[in-house]
Amino acid sequence: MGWNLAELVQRHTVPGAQVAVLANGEIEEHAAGVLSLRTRIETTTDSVFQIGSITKIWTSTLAQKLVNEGVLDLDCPIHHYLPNLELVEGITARHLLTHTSGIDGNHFTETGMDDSAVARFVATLTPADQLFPPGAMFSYSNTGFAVLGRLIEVLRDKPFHDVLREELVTPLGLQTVSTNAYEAILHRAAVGHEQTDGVLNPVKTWALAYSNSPGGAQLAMSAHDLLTFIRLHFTDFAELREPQVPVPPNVSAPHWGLGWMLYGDGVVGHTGTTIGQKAFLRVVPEKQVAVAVLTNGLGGAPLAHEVMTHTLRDLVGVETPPRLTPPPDPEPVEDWMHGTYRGTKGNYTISEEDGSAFLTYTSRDIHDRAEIVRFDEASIITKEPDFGTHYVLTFVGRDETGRAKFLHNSNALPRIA
Amino acid sequence: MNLRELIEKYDVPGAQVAVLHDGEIHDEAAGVLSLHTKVETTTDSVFKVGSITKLWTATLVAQLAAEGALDLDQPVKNRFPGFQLSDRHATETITARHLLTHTSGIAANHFTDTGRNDDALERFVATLADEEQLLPPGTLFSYSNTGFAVLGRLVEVVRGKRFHQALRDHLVTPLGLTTVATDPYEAILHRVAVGHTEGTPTTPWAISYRTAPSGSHLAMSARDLLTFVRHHLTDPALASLREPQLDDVPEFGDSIRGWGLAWMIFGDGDLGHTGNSKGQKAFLRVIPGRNLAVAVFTNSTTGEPLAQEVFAAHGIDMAPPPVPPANPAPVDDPMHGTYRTPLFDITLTGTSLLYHPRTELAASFNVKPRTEVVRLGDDTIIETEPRFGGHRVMSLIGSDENGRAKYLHNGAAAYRIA
Repeated sequence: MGWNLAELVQRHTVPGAQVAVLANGEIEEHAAGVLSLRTRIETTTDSVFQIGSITKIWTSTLAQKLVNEGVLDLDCPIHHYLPNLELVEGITARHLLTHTSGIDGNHFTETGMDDSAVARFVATLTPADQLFPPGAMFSYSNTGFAVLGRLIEVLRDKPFHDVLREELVTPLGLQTVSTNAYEAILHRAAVGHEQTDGVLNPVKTWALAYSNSPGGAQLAMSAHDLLTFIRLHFTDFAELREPQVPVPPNVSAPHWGLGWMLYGDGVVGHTGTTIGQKAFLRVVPEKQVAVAVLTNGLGGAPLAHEVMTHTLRDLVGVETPPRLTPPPDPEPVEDWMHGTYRGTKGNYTISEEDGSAFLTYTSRDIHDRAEIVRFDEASIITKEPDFGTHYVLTFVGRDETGRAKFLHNSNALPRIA
Repeated sequence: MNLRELIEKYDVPGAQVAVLHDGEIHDEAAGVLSLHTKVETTTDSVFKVGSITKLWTATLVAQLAAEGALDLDQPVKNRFPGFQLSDRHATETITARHLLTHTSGIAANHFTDTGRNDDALERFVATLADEEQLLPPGTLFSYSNTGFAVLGRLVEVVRGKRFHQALRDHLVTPLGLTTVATDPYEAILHRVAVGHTEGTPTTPWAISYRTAPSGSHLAMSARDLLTFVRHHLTDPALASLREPQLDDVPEFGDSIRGWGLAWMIFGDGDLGHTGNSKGQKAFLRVIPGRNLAVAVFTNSTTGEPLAQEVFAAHGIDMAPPPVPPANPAPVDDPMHGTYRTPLFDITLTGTSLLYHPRTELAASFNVKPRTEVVRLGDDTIIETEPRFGGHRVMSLIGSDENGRAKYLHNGAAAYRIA
């Protein structure tokens, strides 16, 4: 395949990783490194890593099963199914699946570890959590998937994880899939790593809030089991991959299907980021090829990019676009871009100082500043890489004075100043 | 025999041993944490300590007493206004000392599942308002996990914080313990032992979050347990926990001869506790006179003989497990009769124990309706068939106006009704 996982984890400062490649009906597995720099337990191919937002493909599959059974209409307002929901009228399951509902995306509200966690979280949402009218544009929404998860719970009349188990995990015979730490602890379980004071350390909190499970919080499994699930999509659920909505340029994939990110050239997939773990999935359904890269470190993105580039080129002749980097002679960041934009938990400010442009993020706990340069007509990019990644943000729309209406980092961030 | 040989000999997947002597802790580890993952046990791996947790809960209560925030001999209700049992007298009179010495008369276990949220303990203790009281407070020793849940809730109310937060703020952090995990979300950050039953990993990893203060989720290394024990041996304020509290302790064929505040007291004045939790068995023995403590953690239901051998190597004897005698005396008439717990009516005949479930819940437990027993000692009977690796011993206690035993006792008491 042109890569060696043991070499890749070394070079990208990733403590441990798993790769599975599905081609010609067979799954080939690789594992390297350790599950935690604290425990030094070796990664094996049956270890479990958190898949984060790749969970959204599982949730989308559960929704489509309800559609196939005639129980759910993707274009019917969800208030029809969830009459007590305090969200604006007119949101449909299709909006939730395509991230066009306008529901602010990143609440991650702690509502406990019980089966009621999703219901209790969804009950805290109000019309104030609305960024724009349903259907107006794309804005990635974890919270929207929690609402979708709640919809699935109500239509199946059982907790989300019971549905996941009964509809997918058990029929597919998946042995490593864990929906929480009580289950994951029975396996070799990866622990995420984050940088503190320049040193890569195991995280102190293993998982995101249980309430966000349908959007991706605690679900963990081997790369092999992830691809066993994906194989199901070679014969079923093709409708989920139909293009549904364009995405602002440069911020993630160019289009979105129902749950799926559509990368172009027949490649679909998703990524997942949890607390110090990063997961990547690329699928070429026409060729029945899929690649999963699961990592427990911040350098996971460039590592996965390298694996995807080589593997997809070799197996299906598809070129993976290069990772985005700042242009050599960037145009200036312009006045109409400056201002402050609101995220779920904090604000993003674009400003200029001594001829340089900066992106500042401020929330209750975090104050972060990074130098940015112009990337293209409507996008900016962080000047210095963070674990191999330059972040790109795109301006969307203009207000009456010509200033950008939204800053977009896959979440639409409305201008507030 | 070294630990590696001992785990082979006793078919235990993995074990940790720590020894505290004259203030120094030495530890060792052997085997694997799980026969599924095959991850090697290290000295900083974490095992579940089961009911050894009760010593930690007792320590939190003792700290409150030392601060003057709690009087062990005043009704719990004085500091815990919402405390409510179905029995009014018990509600009004149960003290922390009753709970710490298993003499509150609260039955051993209760089963309302109150989930895994922060409020699981609070909600669980609230369900006791609808549960039948076993015995009037102070009647006699009757081991109660639920009693320790009440103590944990008492700590929450007086401290104004959740039990695990109190445990962290008042013990784990001050003692500098780095492996103590209060749930699987913390434990998963370490090498974690998984229990084994008949050689198979036990699932789920833990149950009954609601009774965490009695021992269901707490996990740590043997070294960290002994650091906690060293604190007990050096802090004079905690010495009173080791004082014998009860005049009479029923006989169960083990070496327990008394109870302190949560501490088991063994024949020669040694102290300790044991813990069983989903296929993990933990053993702690402390000999204050020799400045010695030994902790043995195993991830198997078969861990006890291994622990015995480790203790013996340090001059600590555990009684050999009792077995049915070859020519037993008869089970006498005064022992015969029917005894009641909130869950079962248990009839003792000349040859057997018959279990009659009193509730739907009890019926769902699939308890064997009949077990054979023979006479063991003056006041004890023993089951002829072993289970969980040993023969269960029961004690017949007291004497009513007709000379008949008043209680059938297997650690938890049942009172005569016929």
